[in-house]
Amino acid sequence: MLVYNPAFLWALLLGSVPILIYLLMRYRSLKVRWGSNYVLERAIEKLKKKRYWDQILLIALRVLAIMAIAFAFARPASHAKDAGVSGVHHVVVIDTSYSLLSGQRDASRWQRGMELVGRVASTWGRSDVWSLYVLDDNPRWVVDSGVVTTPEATLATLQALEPTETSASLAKAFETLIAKFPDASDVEITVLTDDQETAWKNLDRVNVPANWSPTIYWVNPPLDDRVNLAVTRVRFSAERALVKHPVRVFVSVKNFSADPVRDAEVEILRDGAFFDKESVSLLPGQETEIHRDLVFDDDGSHYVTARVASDALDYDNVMHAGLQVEPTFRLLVLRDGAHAGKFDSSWRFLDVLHRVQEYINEFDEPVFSHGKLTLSQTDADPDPALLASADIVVLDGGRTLTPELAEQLRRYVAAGGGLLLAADQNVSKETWNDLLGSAKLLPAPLERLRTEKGGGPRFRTLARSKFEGLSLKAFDTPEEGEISNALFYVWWDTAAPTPPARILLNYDDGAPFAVQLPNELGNVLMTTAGLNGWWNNLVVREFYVPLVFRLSSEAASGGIFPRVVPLRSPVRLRLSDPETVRGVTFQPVDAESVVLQPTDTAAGRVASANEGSAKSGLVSMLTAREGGAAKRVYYGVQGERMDSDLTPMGREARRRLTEDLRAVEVADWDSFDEALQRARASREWHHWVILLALGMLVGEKLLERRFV
Amino acid sequence: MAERSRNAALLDDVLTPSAKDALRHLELYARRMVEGLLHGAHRSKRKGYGDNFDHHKNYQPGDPLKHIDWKVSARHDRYYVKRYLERTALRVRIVVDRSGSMLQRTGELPTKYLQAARTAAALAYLILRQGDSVGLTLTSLERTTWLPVRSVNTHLVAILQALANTEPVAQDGLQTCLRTIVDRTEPKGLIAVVSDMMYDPAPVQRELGRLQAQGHEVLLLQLRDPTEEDFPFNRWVQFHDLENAGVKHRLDAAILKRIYREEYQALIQEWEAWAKKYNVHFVSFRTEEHVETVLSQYIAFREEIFGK
Repeated sequence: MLVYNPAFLWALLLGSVPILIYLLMRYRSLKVRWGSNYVLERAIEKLKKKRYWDQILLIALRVLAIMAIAFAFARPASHAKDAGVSGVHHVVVIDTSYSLLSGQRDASRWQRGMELVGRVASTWGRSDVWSLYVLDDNPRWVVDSGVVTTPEATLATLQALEPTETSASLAKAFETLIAKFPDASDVEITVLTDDQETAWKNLDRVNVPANWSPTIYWVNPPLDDRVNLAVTRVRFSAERALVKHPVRVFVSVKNFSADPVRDAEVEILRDGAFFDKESVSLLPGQETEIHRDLVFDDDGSHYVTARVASDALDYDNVMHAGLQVEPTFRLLVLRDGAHAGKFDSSWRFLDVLHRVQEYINEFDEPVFSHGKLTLSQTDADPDPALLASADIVVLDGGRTLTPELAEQLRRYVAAGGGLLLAADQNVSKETWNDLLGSAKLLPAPLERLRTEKGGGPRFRTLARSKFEGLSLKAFDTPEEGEISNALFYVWWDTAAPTPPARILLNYDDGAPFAVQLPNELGNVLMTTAGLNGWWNNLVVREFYVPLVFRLSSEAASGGIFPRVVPLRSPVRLRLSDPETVRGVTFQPVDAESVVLQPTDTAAGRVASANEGSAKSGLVSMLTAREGGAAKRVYYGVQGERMDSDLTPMGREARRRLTEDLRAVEVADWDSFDEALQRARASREWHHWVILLALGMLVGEKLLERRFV
Repeated sequence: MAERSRNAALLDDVLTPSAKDALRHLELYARRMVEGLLHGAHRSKRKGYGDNFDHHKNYQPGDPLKHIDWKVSARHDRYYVKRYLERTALRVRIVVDRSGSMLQRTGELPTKYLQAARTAAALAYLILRQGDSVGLTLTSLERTTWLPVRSVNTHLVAILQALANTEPVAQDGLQTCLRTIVDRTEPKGLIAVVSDMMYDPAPVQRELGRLQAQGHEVLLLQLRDPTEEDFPFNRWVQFHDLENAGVKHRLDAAILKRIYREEYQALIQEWEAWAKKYNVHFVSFRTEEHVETVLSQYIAFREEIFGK
C-alpha cells in the first residue's frame, strides 16, 4: 500500500479528538444534587451490564471514523503488484544544466520544477523504491533503487542537487532508462527538464520498444520570455602587462535567442568598478566581440568583468578575466664576442628603446613614467640563475647556438621563461632547426633566407588586418602607428608552424611574421625577420616602441599561469620568493575557501587548486607572506556557454515525446495533480475508505440512539 | 408578633387559602368501614341507628319504638326492630416522607417535600373539617415525628406547624415508620403515605401489606419531580446524592438517559402494579401540578367508585 498525500497521515492524530472531548467533558461535568439516587444506581448498574461494550464501541467508532476520513485524504492506493517493497518504482530524472535557472522575476524554472518534484515525492509510500538520475555532462544514478524511508529524507536528497554548468542530453537519458527498465509497467518516471532544443536533440534516434510504457511526467515549468544574451568570453591581449601601458580586453557576447536583440548594453568593469559600456545589436545566434584598452596604474593582480543586462537567464550574463600587471619586464640579450658589428645583434636595436625610456625633459623629469623594459646582455654562457632573473631572453643570429645553450634555454622556458627568437640573416638555419627543434623551442622550422636589395621594390610589409594574436591586435587601427608601413628586405621563409604554435602577425602576403609556441608555462615567440635593424625600417617607425612592448608582453606572459581558466581546470599560482610564503588559500565561486599546500615543480614552487572551480566566476588565491600584507591574485573562470540556448524544441521532438513516449507534460501542480490522479485512479481506494467512514458514522449514530 | 406572622406565613405556604377554598366542599369518605368512638359520616361495623339498614331483629324491651318496622311486624305478627350500620368518625394517619431526596426540585417549582407537606396539610384540613380525626408522622431514618390522631380543629395548626418547621434530612425511614404503626396496632383507619417512592419498594410494600391486613386502608401519594423523571441531561453530570453525603456518580448522562427513563418508569409501574394487586389507591403526580387539583380529582374518583 502507498499513500499519495502522506502529509495527511498526520491528520490521523485527529482520531484522538473524541477521546480528548470525552476527557474534557468528563472534567467539565455539571454538578447536580440528585434525589432519585436509587433509580440512578439501578440505571448505572444496568448500563454497566448491557451497554459497557456499547460505550467502548461508540468511542471506537468515532475515533475510527475520523481516522478513516483523514486516511482517505491521504489518498491510499494499492501497488500495481504485490511485490513487497517493489510496488511502484519512482524514477526521477533531473536535468541540472544551468538553463533550468531561466525564469522571470518570481522564480526560476529550477525552483518551480523542484517544488513540483518535491511535492510528488512527498506522495510516495514509505516502502516504495525510487531512483534518481542526474543529467549533466556526467549522467549518473545518484540513488539507484533506494527505499523511501521518510519523505523528508527523499526531499533532502533532491534538495541537495543544484544546477551546474553542464548541458544535458535527454536522448541519452531515455536510452539509459530503457536499458535499465526494459519492463517498465510499474515504473513512474518524473523528468524535470526544460523544452530546450539542444537538450532534446537526437530524441528521434532513440529506439523505444513498442511495449515500453512507463508512466512519464515531464515537468516543464513555462518560460514566457526567451531572450537570452550571454557573455561568452573575456580575454586580455596578454596575461601580463606593464604598469600604465594600455592592455586590450576583448569581450564576446552572443545572442542565444531566436529573435534579434537591439541595443543591449554590455558593461565593462575594471577591478569591480564601472569602466565603460557599449550597446550591441545582435541577430539570432550572432556573436560579436567588443574591446576596450585599459590602463592599470599600479602593479599586481587585477581583473575585469563584463556583463550584460538581466534577461531570461541571468546565469550567463557575467564573465571575468584576470591580469597580472608588472612594473618592468627584464630583457636579457644573448650576444657573442665573435659578433661585434652594429647589426649583428638585437642589442643595438633594443638599446634605442632603452634610451627612449630614459629621456629627461627640460625640468629634469623623466618623460617616460610607464612600466619599463630593463635591458641587459651577456656574451658568456648564461648560467641558470642569470636566465631565471630575466623575464624575456632574446636570441638571434648574434649568438652562436650550441647544444648546451639550447638545453639551458629549454630548461629556462620549461621553468616559465619567455624566449624571443629573432631570426635575422646571421641565423644558422640548420643549427636552429636542429637544436631548437629538438628542444621543442622552435615555433616554425626555418626554410629559406630571403634577401632583397635595400630600398628596392621587393620588400615585405606587415598586414594590418591579419592579426591572429590578441597581443598585436592593437595595430588593427593606426592609433599606435601604421604597421603596414613596416618594410622588410631580409626575412626567413618558414614551414608551417609546429602545433600548437600559432601565428600572431602575418606579412601582407600571408606568410607568418610572428609565431608563438605557447607552453603550459613558458613561452617562445619567434619573428621571421631580425630585430637588429638590418634591412628593415622598424626602428624609425612610430610603432616601434609599442610593437616591442607588445611583443615583450606576449613573450613574458608565459611566466605566469593563465589568469583565465576553463571550468574545473586547475588554478595555479607560481610563488615568487617561496621561502617567505606562510600560506596560500584558494577562494572558489560560491564555496568555502580551501587551504593549499604548495609543491615544488620545474617552474619553482607552485600552489595549485587542482579541482579548479565548478562554477564560472571570479576566483582568487590569497598568499600570506612573512612581514608583508597578504596579496590576492584573481582568476577568471570561464565555462563554455553550452546551455545558454533557450530555443524551444521542435514540433517533431515534442510529438515524439508526447505521442511515442506518451509523456504527460505538466507545468504546475494543478496539472501535475490532475495527471497523477488520472494515472493513479485505478489504484486509489480512498473512496472505499470514505464509504467505510460513512458506514462507521451511521453505525455510531445508530448506536447512539440506543442510549438516548 | 413577628414570630407569629412568620408562622402564619409558613402555614399559609403549606396550606394556601386557595387550597382551602378548593377543598371546602369536598369530603373524604372511608373506603372501608371504620371503627370510631365518635359518630361520624362513615359506615362502621358497629351496629346502631343510622341510615344504612343492616338487618331486622326481634324487638326487645327498651328498644326505641321509632325503630320498629311496622310493615314487617304486621306481616309476621311479631315486633321487629330495624338495625342499621352505625356511622363513625374516620381516623386518618398521614405519613410524610421527610428523607433528603424530598429536597429535589426543578427550577422554580416547589420541592417534593413542600408539595408533600401541602398534600398532607390539605388532607388534614379536609379530614378535620368533616369532623374526622387525623394524625401526622414525619419520617426519616434519622428522626421520626409523631403527632397523635385527633379530631379537634386546633390540631390542624399543630399539623401545619410540624409540616412547616421540618426540613428533610438523611435517608428514607418509611419502612421503619410503617413497621412502628403496625406494631402499635392503632385503630383501623386510613394510612396515607406521601412520598417520592424513590427507594427499594419491596420492604415498604411488605409493611404496607401488613397494615392492610390489620384492616387499614392504605393510600399512596407519590410525588414526581420533572427533572428526575425526564432526565433532561445530554452531557457529563456529577450527581450528588441528597440522602447520602459524599455519594456521587459522574457519568455521561446522554448515554444513560434512555436506561434511566426506563428504570424510572419501571419503578412507578412496579408501585402501580403492587397497588392494583392489593387494591390500594395509588396517586402519582408531579410537583408542577396543584395539590388541590390532584386531591379534588382523587376524591371525585373515590366518590364515583364508592359513592356515599
